[in-house]
Amino acid sequence: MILYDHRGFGPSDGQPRQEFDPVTQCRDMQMAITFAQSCTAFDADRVALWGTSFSGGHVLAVAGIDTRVRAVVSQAPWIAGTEIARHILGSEGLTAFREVFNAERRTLLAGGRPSLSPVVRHPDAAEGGFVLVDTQEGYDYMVSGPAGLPKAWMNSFTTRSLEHAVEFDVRPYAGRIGTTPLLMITGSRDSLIPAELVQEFYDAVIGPKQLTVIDAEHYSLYMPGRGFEESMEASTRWFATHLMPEAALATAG
Amino acid sequence: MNTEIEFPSYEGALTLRGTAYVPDRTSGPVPVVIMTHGMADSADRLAPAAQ
Repeated sequence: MILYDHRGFGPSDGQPRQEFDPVTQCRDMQMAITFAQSCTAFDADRVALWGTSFSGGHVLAVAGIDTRVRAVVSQAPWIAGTEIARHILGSEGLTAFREVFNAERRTLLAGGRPSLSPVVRHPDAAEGGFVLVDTQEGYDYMVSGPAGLPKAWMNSFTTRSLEHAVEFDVRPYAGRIGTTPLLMITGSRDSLIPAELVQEFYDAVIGPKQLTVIDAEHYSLYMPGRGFEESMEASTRWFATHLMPEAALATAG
Repeated sequence: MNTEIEFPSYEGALTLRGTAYVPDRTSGPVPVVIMTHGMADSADRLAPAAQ
């Protein structure tokens, strides 16, 4: 396994801090593949990707571009930014955001820095501006989740990152994944990612493929007893089947 | 065995950092799964999944 932080986050370099841009993140993921292949401990012909939420979209895009990828698991994936934003914010909310993004550009033109917004706000706090995740389950995950508060995590992101997310649509890659084995995992009570987007992507992939629906919310998929074990079991089985066929056969036999 | 790793970004100017998890006993190169975090999050939170 290789687990890393995107540029701009945690111990990784990158300015501005706390900015996500799927275009650069996907290109960096391809560098992670190159790095993995350079490690003598790893088999260069058996490199796989596992992504969740926003990175669940990245792994679908990279699998569509990069033929070195031999298996993919994509959990609660970001399929189509505009549709997801409209689902969460409504059409009027999305229109209002476009003005926020344009104001960010005017700030840059005037020599300013990208503004920051908070990821979460305490559920009991008085209403006070936009936050990225405004649900109780999102707060529970980000702040009081099972792993505790990661020391590298910060409750902020560059506001303009959201525009990058709205732009990001991985549906054109569905037909290019070819025969790379793809497992998609989704929570049946995910309030952020519309189930029909996941289904649309899944239907457009040739396969081998599998869609595993777990009784979970978007963020509870990380929480023991609320979907985590089911997700890990499905992921592990998928990788074992497609990366270690001899071991899978031995287990079955 | 967990090892801290780093590799260059696409344009080479940045260093990206993380952890490699390699089984203690293997009989040759093993498959590798690459993982990273979602929006405005931290890879630390995925350590249980990586394990």
